[in-house]
Amino acid sequence: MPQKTLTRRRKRSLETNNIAGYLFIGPWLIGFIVFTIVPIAMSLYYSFTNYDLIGSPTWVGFQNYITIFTNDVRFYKAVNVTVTYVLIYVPLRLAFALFVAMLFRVPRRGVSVYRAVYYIPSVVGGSVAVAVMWKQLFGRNGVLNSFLLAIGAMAPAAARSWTTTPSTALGTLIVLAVWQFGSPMLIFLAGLKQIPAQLYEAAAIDGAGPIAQFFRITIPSLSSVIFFNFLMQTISGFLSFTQALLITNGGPMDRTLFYVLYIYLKGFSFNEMGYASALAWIMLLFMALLTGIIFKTSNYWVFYESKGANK
Amino acid sequence: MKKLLVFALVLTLAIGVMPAHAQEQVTLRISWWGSQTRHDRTIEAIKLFESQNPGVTIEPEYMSWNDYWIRMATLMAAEQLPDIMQQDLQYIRQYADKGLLENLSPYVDSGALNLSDSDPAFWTGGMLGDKLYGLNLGTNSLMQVYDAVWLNELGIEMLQPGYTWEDYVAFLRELRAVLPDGVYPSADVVTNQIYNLITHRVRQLGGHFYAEDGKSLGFDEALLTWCFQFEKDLTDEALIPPMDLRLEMGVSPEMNLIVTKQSVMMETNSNQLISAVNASGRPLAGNIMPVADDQVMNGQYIKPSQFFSVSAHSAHKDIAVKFLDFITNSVECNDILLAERGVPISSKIREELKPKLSEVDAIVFDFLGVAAKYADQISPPEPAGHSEVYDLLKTYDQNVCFGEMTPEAAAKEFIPKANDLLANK
Repeated sequence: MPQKTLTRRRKRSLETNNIAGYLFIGPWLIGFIVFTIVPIAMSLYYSFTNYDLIGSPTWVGFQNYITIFTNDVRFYKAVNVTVTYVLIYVPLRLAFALFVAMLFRVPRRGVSVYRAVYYIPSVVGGSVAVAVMWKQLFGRNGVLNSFLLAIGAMAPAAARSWTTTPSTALGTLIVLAVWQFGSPMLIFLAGLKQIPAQLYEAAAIDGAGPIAQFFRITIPSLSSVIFFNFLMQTISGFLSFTQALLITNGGPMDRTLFYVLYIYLKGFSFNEMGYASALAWIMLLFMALLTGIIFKTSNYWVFYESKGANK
Repeated sequence: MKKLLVFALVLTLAIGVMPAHAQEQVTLRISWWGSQTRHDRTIEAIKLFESQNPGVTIEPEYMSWNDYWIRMATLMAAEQLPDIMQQDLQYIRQYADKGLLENLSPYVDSGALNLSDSDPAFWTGGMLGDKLYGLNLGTNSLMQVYDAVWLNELGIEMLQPGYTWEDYVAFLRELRAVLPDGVYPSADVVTNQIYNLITHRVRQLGGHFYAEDGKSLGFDEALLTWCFQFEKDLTDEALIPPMDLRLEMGVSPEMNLIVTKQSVMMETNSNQLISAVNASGRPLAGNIMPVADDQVMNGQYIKPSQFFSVSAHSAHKDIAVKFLDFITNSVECNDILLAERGVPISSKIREELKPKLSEVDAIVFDFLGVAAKYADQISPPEPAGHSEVYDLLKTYDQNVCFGEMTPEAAAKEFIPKANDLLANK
């Protein structure tokens, strides 16, 4: 029966193809399982235990979650700080990025040099060096205070360290975050270049000024890019950690205790890995929910050209 | 080629198997954390021990502090803890409570671990109850660092050991009167951490920071209020810098105001003196902490910088203890280690080392000699909830110094919260 042998042979060759395929994705797949799936599963398990990094974990059911919501003042402080931070820095960073992108839209001499220069803060922003520099800038004897004293805007007795005074500590971190506007700026710039020139020409003929053009053409045409940037910045805002750890270490008086920093403290300083895992899972669920909501609302304010044409 | 490979394989196998058949061979594992200097010196000391004890091989494993505790946690889970591990006050109770560490007291009694040259104040810090779980490798004590040259220029005489809290404040005021704005008599009240101030004061009254079982605090509202108030008064009088400046300065001696000549004094652990001297480039001296008129016990204590502990599961405890004895009492060994882990506990070794020391190390040695006279036994090791309580205390302290809370209100709120944390551990 030649027919049968053929199918068998074809089957076998298909199988070997599959094996080759698996072999190719093997390295990635193993990495994904070992470094992503397993840790995620472990942390979910630990969140239901009292794992302290030293002993073996004991199952405590929902105890960690109950404690977090009913008997943990610092959890609410951390949520408060993080939400405040995100609510202020995301709009500021996006506005600033869009503003700079608008300046760079028009081809001028040396614009590519400026573009690179303005992108640098985003590259170095997360580094220890910048954190140290920030401390110096906003320190008691820092550049900002020296400047304010020199122009007479501040009395010498009023000089405070901006990073360690409770009322201004979070502000310095927000300024640092806004300063790193490079990546949304580049994305805005790419988006701006996509807007057809004839739209502006037509508007100009109809007598629309630059402000009307910005709000009637630029913003709507850019809405999908704004949406993307908004989503990415919000997520990364909630995950902020390094700067608070390096510059303020969560202090003073927990005024810069970012949520992720709190998870870190619980897990690695207080050895409550189980509790920290529970905090992390609350974060994950919250982020999933928030992202879902942002996606839903996007139907009302994000304009897609392809969809518009179908209507 | 293939033959060569097989031959090499057989050879490696043979080498691996051989010692088992040769004379009695013992292999011990030892781990510590620390700097490169410590690694180099400890490895050399191990080599010396091996040459004196044929048949014993010690396999060292060394890393940084953070990696160390994560690694030990993993090894513990696998029941593979090294025969000898370096231990710390923060962790020793947790390890001992889980039955992972060998009680060394019987070895001290039998003389296998000879501590006859060591003052008990220097080694009882490794005890939990009546059991010795860690052998102290070097000692520290809280130190008031001061710039003697500067004081001389100002014509103000330094306080002598045995001075009281009142003397201390009067001294700071005297300095305040002659120092310009922006320069402070002291950079901090007891290492910028209220924790040390409380510990010192509660000990003077005969207690400890934590209750004996580690499940609650060892002091009451009145004492905490006193400490908060004391610190606040010093801050308000500009005898110490305002809170924002103290936070900016942090805890590392290199960043301290004394380094930039913005303060005459600072407080730190005695082993940190060298960092402050190196950073400032000026000679600095050290004094003990204040005593109290009403004290029933000394607040000052001699602190073990770190321990060596023997694993309870070690198969060669006798040899591990022999190594501990070697570290404590061997002159040759300490000539190599050169007090890198702190001032050695054996008075004999201290005398031997003295002429070989640098100037700063000699100051620290002398200081510990004085401190030992004004010191009582160290408080028991900190309980598991310590780092969280410590963190909470810092927050309340900041509330007080930034004027957000009164000392009374902060003390009233802090105590039940901390007790709650400790009880739930």
